[in-house]
Amino acid sequence: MRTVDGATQVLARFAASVPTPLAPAERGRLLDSLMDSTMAMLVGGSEPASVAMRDVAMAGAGSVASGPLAAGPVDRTWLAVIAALASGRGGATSFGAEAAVLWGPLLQAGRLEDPDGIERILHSFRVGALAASGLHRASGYDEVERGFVSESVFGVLGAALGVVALLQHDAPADQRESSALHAIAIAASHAGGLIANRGTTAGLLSAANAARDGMSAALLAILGLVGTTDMLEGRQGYGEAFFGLPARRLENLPTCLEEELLASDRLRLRHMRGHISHQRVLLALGSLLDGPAAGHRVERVVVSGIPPNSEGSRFAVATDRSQADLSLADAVTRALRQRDAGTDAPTASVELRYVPRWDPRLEDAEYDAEELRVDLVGHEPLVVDVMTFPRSASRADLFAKWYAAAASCDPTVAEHITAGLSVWEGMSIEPDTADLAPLREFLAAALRTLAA
Amino acid sequence: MSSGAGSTGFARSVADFALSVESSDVPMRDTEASERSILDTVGVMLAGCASPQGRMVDTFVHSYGGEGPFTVVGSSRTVDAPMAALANGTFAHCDDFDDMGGYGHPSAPIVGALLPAAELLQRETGVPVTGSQLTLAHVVGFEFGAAFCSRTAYNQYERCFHSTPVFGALAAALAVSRLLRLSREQTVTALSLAASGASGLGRSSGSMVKPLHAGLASRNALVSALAARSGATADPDIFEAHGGFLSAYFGHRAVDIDGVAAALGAPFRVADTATIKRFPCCGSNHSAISGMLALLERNPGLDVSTIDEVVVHGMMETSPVTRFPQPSTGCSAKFSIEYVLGLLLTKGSLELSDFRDEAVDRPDVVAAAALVRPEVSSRWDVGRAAKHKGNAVSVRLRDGRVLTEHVLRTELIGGPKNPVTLPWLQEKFHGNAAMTLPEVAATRAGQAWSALRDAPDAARLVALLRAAPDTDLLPDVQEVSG
Repeated sequence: MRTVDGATQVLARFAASVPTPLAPAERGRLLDSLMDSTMAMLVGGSEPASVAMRDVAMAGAGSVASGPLAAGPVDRTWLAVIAALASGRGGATSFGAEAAVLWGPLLQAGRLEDPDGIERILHSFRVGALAASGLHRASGYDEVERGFVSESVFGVLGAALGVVALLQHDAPADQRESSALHAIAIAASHAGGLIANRGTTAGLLSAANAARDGMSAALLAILGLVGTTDMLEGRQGYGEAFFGLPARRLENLPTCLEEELLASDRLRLRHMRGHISHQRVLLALGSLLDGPAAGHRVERVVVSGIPPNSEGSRFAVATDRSQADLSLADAVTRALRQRDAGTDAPTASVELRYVPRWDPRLEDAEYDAEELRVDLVGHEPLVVDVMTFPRSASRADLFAKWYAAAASCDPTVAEHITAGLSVWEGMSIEPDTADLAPLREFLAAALRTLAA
Repeated sequence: MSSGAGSTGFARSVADFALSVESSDVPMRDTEASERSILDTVGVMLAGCASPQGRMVDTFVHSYGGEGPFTVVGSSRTVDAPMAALANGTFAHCDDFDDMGGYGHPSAPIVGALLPAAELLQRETGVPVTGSQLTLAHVVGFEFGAAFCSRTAYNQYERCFHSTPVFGALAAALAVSRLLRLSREQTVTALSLAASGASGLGRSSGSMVKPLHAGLASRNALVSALAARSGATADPDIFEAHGGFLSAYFGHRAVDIDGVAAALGAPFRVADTATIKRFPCCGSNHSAISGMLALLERNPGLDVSTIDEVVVHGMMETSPVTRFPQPSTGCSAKFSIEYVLGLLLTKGSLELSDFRDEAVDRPDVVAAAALVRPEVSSRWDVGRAAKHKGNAVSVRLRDGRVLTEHVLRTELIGGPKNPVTLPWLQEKFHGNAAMTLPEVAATRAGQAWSALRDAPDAARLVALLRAAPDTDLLPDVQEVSG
């Protein structure tokens, strides 16, 4: 008779017991991620997909005149996360979800007016991110092989556990654990999302649905909806459905959770718009174009060592913005055109070279590509190792990204972005609640803008 | 053509079917079966909203839903359309009393989505949706979901995803798309969106989460159709594509989706598939329940004290009703063959109240349930157990006699070969509706929904499902029936 706690109980207990004080460096990085995602929500609101879904919300409210303000917190979360993803600029997590999938519900469910509201939101994000990334590592999940998108499979659980942590922050540990247990059961039955729909509105909705449904699962669990207490490991449950029958018990989950130390380690913040796997490649290209290649005509760019199942190379030719975000060829071409804008130089060709599935580098989930080579007219080729570039944007990089984005935004949004950047630049990473008042005001204003 | 071999256009074929069907194309027996299912579904919604899980979901949608004029069955307050769909679809499945067949519980997701869709269309256009249009939409959705699930032999026990929300989302999306008169391409997009939003795990059976599956499917379907209408994009080849629906839900098994497309409406399958439930518990119990009732009727002296053992034969190893031999909650009791037969031996009937948490630990029922032994067939003995065969029940008496009865699942009362009568169905409706509505309102709702075919305005029928409607403001039944 099995007496060891099952994976579901293990995960729920972990989520209920994540310690509260944040190390300063961790706190700073989480604040960066929060601001980064909020900026993404603001900027993405004018993207076509975002506008279309606001129309859906208005139709769902029964009156064009009532507007999205008529939407409740669950659907406001949905719209905000759609916007964040539509911007193509928000941060990603190691378990495949955009960070906005967790920040979105927490911002809607959090009490920003409370002096410690921000701290609770940061802690809750940490709970959700650590739980989801621990589960992701324990499962060894490969979304391309299985077919369901990671942002839904893991994001919905991360969002659910984050919201439980937030709303039951002051509850006894056993109550938090019980709510987490049932939130897992409810959220798991919402996981889905097909990778074939990446690069479309449907792809954005998978992530937005995960945020909405994670939030809903937490709320329903707190209301008393009871699910099965062995959802992860039980037959016909989450583990068997997504990871297969032998792996369903997730026996290494306790170890993987124990090894989860810093939520910020699980974040990859983007330097620029585009898939996360494009970032280093484009940084590498920029370093050459702005450096030793400056003044020379580029004939060809070759990116080699690309994983054969990279979502960032999903589309060889992009027909719209959503597809362009998943097209490395398109991203490199646009960078070259931008560099040569105003000249009559022919656009350089772009060649992508993939490695076979046997390549051992593919074991590293954050491996993006091997090297980038630029062939110049009348000059020796320039080669750079892509993996030597930063995996995640620094705070300074983020400021540059959003200042650039604000320059092409609607004036109202640009004003919010600029105000937010001013607050962000002045933030201290120490837990000083007086320091967070401007941040609370900015976030509240951002949420009002998103709901308008 | 089979999946993975270059086949394309399944979603387009399905859309073409949905757009081409008119009421006159549907045989009357299928239209009547659809009307019965719709009547039954709104009735069970009215009971389901009064269940513990129904009340929680009702609180959820009203606390966290958006403002909107859309009916939440059994409530006096309204919400936004997606939340209404979530609530109503969930209510329909709360008591596991909704219809079955085709792909599990076919009508709960479809009707849950169609109610707010009908209200929305009427508000947007000012033109009422007729009862016939609502029925046609149901037929279209049911046909697709049932054909897709049954012809591909989707096995939810092996694949883990509950067939009701997975195929129900697709069926409901098609139904709503038809009702809203989406274009071909918009319908394809709606199907692709719904496929990407499908979810629901079999492990949730026996818990409060299982009813939520139907509500999730309803909401998914409605939002998918509205999003498609608003210009959302999605892969039109979502079923066949790498990383698409077939590979995710069926794995590497070859699936003849061209055969599915060709079979749509040829013939229609509502009449030959939908089964109205007599008992508020998992359908896998119903064959044995029917057998036991027959035994009790033929043997009036049959009493727990005279029984040595009750054996339920031919139980599949995956049977969900073998999961909770000693249920501790009302939800899990619905999935306990031991409990339901113990209940019959003790009180001779099964009612909604028997599946509330406070009812499941009655000592006499527990003692009777302990006499029941499900006989599970070996996985390798494929000739013995199959869902359509149902389960024979043998009662071994202390005096040595053995009484046996076997009601095939295909012969169940309420099924295609043995449909319930309209008076019986109306009585079921009334019993369910009276759990939420006052007597007069329950009667009016039953009469109105029984006359769906002639109703000129479906939205007015939906309004009759609200809680404590002011009887003075209720339209006469003749008004809503046309």
